Amino acid sequence: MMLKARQFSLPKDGNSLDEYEDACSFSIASCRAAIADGATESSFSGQWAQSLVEHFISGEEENSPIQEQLELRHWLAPIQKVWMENIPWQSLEWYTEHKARLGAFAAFLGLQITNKDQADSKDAGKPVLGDCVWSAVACGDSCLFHVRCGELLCAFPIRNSSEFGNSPSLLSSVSAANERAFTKVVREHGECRMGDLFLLATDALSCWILNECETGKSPWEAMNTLSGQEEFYTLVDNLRQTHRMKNDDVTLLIIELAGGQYRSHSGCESL
Amino acid sequence: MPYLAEIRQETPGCFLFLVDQSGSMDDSSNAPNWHRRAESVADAINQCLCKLVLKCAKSDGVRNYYHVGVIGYGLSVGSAFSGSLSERPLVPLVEIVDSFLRMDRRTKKVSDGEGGIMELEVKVPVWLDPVARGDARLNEALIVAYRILKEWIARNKTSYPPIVVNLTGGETDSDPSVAAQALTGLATADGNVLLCNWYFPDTIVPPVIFPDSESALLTEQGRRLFRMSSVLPQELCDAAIYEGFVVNSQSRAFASNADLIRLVEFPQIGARPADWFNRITRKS
Repeated sequence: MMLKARQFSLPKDGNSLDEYEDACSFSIASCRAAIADGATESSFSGQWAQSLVEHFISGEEENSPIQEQLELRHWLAPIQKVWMENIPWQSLEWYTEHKARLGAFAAFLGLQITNKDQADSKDAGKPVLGDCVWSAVACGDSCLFHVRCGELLCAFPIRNSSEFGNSPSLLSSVSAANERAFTKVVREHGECRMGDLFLLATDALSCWILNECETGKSPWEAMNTLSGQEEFYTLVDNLRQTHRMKNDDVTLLIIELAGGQYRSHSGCESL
Repeated sequence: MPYLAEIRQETPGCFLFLVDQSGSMDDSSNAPNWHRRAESVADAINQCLCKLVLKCAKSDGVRNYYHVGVIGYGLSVGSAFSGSLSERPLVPLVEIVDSFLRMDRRTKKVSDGEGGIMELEVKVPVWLDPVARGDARLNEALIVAYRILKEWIARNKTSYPPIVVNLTGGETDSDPSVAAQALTGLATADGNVLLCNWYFPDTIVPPVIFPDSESALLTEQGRRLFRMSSVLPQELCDAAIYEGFVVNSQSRAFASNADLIRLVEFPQIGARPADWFNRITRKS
């Protein structure tokens, strides 16, 4: 079994690409994917969102925030330090400095897929034949949807569209601002097999997906047939114009557990 | 449904502050350190303006999500800003960003994330200094506000309705109720102008925010201001509930001896919250 991944993104209507504050990343080699949504009203939140996803993708297995016993403050500490050091404090306007000192904030979701037989081994993450387990960690309102044969098996961490709001828990680049967020971090896991889909989406799209599910529809059918960014733009633009989705940065990452034999570590990865 | 227009740079919102700068404000107030009410009011305005700038600031600049004006009433009735800002009744937010009088430094206590408290030094811009001279010409200020907003609405017909915030000690030289009614009769396509009265009483009274009855108020001045205040529209009620306030369909945009900063937290910039969209689509 191998992973296939496709990503789509679009800034908020009326904003430029520079103002886009979502982030996503994936690694076929380590079978990890992550998505983050920088808060509009905080500064340098796009950079913070990017730091979060890259840190998750590249980190060591034993130091992954997926692990229940890992204290999230320790996981965040290295990238908080880098974020702080990379701010050009001396050149900032007073309002930017004021906001930056309060920290950047982002919703975050990370997904790890592991071979079932090797879930506890050091080789976990290498694509092989057989069923797998998935594990996810989230803080905020970026969501994961596990779909099999057109049916939704799991929506995480939000299960109902009415739960979306304007004040989700967010991870901060400043330690002092994370006390409440750390109490809201949630984890989930399950089994997965060939043909399953995982959709990772930031809040605007996630809310629409749940809305569609609640009315008996299967929104992943349209998304799984997207051939490129243009079609994604058409889909999102239509949803915005008809007020079925709020105007916000939109990011979608589709992970598919595809069929195929594992030949070598470098031979079977694909996009 | 009203009060749902998206606040964007193309369709900005509007905050117009009316500031009581009359001689009646030159006394002790309910503030813990017994500042004159004139100082409390000036401080409240400066904090609100700072909050608005921060709300709209990104790493590459401030977004023009709002037009802002501050009208003082006392010796005269007119812009309370200094310098070039005083030449126009409403200015885009970006124009006030660096037009402050001076930058003060204050210490703020914040959590250190480890269960303790640390002190953080923050810069606080000052646009207004306290003033307390002349009569409480609220009626005239409301008439001036009417003219300003009638013109603004003509240029911004589809914008989120303007919010007028009157910071007052309660005294007035003539009955302002007719002028207040005319002001709240103005409307954009998204709803009527909202008049919010923020009362700074000269006696010690319990804080009140968004009351649903004038019986909650202990002074006739407070009760009169309550009657002049707009009823909170449904969408702002929902936002207030979300922010933790206790409100109902009769609650008014009025507060007494309360923190003004919370008011500028809503309406939200940009799109409505996702759950509001859900309610709209379900109702339609």
